[in-house]
Amino acid sequence: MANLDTLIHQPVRLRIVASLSALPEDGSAEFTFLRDLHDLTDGNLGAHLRKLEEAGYVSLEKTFVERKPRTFITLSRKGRKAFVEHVKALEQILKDKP
Amino acid sequence: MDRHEAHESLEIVRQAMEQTQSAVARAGMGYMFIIWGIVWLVGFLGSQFLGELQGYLWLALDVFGIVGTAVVILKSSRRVRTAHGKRIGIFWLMIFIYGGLLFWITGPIEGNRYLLFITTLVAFAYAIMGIWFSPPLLYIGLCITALAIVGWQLIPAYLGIWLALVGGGGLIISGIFVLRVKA
Repeated sequence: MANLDTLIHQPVRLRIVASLSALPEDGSAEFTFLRDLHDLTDGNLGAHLRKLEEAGYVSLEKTFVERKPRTFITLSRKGRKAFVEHVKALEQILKDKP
Repeated sequence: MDRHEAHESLEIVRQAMEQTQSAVARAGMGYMFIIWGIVWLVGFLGSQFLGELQGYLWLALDVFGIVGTAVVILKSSRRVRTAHGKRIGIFWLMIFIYGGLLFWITGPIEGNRYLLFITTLVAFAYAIMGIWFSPPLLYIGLCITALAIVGWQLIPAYLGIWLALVGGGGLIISGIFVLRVKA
């Protein structure tokens, strides 16, 4: 039986992880893309990404694009698995509870 | 957690995934369809009316298409990266190279057969991409091929206009559809 993931369950982190899971497995999204997509501040997004990175759910790659620093975020296999389990747990609640 | 909270969480997931896919689609495929739709629309109309000058027109339009594609790819890769993007770029390069080789091996192709050669080669590429990445591309490729053959058989004297409308117009409409449906 699938279990809810308390780290992913937080609404902003749930949106971030859901967005990353919508990309192909080898895909990554740039920091400002996620920030603008979900209408977050730099600090807010950064704090949530740190928590996800500490749990091993995302990896961050800092690079330069046209001489500007960019951070690309990729959902790890562990993170993808945790997200899938979390969604299954949510769907199970809808099935089980009247 | 109760049912209502679970439902709200799943709704957050659904919206986030749709927003992401929409943003990525807007960044790439939609604009590509429109750029190459314009190339085909103008190019095939030129083929119908310009005679021997059409070669120069196609050359200029291909430069426009390639530059436009490069700009779209560069802009979208600043925000989202996937290995798909690199593979798609290499795939189209191979289509271009093999198309040129086939053209050279088969000898001079002129008139309507030349127009059909370009059309069916590109439609083939869309169909293959559709099998690997996105089913709608397969249907677009097959439709363009079918309509091109129908036009060639039924109205050969107006094939350029036909291809401009169904090929070029079809791609432009597909691009607008992708950008609007996913918005």
